[in-house]
Amino acid sequence: MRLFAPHISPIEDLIKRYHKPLYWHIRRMVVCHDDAQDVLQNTFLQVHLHLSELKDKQQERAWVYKVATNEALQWLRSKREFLSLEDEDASALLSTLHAETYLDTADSLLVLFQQAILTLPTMQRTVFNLRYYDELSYDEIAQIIGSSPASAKTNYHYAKAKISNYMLQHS
Amino acid sequence: MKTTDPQFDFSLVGKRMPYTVPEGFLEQSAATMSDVVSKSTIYHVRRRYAAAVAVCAIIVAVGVGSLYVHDEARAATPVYCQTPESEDGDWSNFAEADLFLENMNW
Repeated sequence: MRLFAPHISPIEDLIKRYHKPLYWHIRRMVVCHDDAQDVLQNTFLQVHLHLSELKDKQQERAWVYKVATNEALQWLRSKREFLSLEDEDASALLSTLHAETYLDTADSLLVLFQQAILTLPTMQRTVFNLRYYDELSYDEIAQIIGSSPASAKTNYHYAKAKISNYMLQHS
Repeated sequence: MKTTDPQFDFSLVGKRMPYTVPEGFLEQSAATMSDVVSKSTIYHVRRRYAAAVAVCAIIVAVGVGSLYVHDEARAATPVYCQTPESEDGDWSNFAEADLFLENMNW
């Protein structure tokens, strides 16, 4: 039993609890394993440097996911600039998916499902991943993407409908 | 009669993903992350320390520079030290003053 109010976890504790879910969240966003590893390192570095800014323990999960999401989006943005691509996130990510070494292509339905997710606009893709895989609440997602819970919910339902259509068309 | 569009059955996929990781990656990644973060933090702290030292050096240099300028300014005769012209003549010319003193029969 804690005698005092819950305190902010030290960085080792945060790494221990969040490295797996954050790795998968980042991996789903950047697709490539090596990139995900780099983004995860940057994420924990940012978390460590700005840990004092986290005042409310209740918002810890949303906060670390927000840092990870921002780092992943920043990574994608820098990659897009490096490759001189404009609004071609989907095609670039699909190329990355097909070139990825650490990908199990045995189950084509799983690959197709990821393809469907990668064709979504960035916001919908982020919201869908956070809700579908990480099971975050709409409040937490809204906090992460900087919008309202209603907007997060709308984005999720649009994303799900688009994925459903894609899967029915391509399977 | 109301009809609904066919929907994909998401339970066919569930939370499974085609992504894989190198063997042992997830088991070792926590330790690797802690190590990387602590090393990077030391690097950041050193950078901040170096920046702080540089800022201090600049402040000291500016302080010393301002003192030097102050000395130069002090070398010029302040207004309050200048001998005012009196009724007896211009006493700011020390040679004249010395001559006057010599000629005086004390």
